Amino acid sequence: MPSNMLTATRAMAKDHWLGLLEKLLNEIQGWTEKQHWPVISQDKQVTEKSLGTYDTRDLVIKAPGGTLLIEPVAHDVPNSDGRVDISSFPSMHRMLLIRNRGNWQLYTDSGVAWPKKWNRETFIEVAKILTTA
Amino acid sequence: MKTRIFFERIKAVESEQRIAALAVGRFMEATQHTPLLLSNHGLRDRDVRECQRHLEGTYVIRLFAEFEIALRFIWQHVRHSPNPPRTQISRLMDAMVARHHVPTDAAQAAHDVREYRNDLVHQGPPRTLLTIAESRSRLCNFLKFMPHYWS
Repeated sequence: MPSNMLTATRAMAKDHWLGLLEKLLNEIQGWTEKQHWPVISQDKQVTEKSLGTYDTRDLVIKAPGGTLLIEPVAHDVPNSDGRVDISSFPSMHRMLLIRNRGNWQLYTDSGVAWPKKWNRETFIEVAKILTTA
Repeated sequence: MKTRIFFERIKAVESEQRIAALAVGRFMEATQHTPLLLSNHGLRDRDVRECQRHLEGTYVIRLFAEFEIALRFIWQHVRHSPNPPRTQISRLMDAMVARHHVPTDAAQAAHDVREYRNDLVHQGPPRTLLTIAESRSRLCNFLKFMPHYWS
């Protein structure tokens, strides 16, 4: 592929991924605010060979049982189209949000698919489980 | 059980390498003043220089061995398997990458350490040169994507 086409393809993939991330983070931020859980954004830079370096953000959420970190990890993940981690502090329990066939799917840290669809109810449930585990 | 244990074991190997490198450096100094320290054991200056030259690579091999133990242990316990897998390490790494959604860059970086280890073991010309600190960082970064806990 000519290098200018490669650059354009990479730029499109990066824009698409950043759009997905921003939509997801805004959605989570909205859900937490409805719960009256304080949330702050922290700027973050990610570098991937396929996309180069890009700016995104982590969310730090103060849930009743503890602190949650929502952390974009990478777009380039085998068999999927991106990964965002949900970790709790200080217990360090973690779940993975994996982008699969146009949808976000939750997985346990040991790689088992969570049996519920990703939506507000699932997020609240998982947030409670993670922060009280 | 926590994955953190394996990070500690890998870091401990790096610390051992630093101690060994310091000790060999001191020993080289000492042998300049007291050549008998070597000749009494049938050794020569060249032997110490070779030891120093290979020291980092030797510890990269050990570092990777700890990483391999960690992956086999995690695989066995996450899958509740009675025995550790006998799969080739490269295949095991790929299986872990797929199961635990390890980012491609992190996976490739760890594979580079594996290839470097292979070159060191088989004494082939290394395709890439990695310091022990880089190797440790790449292997720990891969392990970061493994489950934090398991029963």
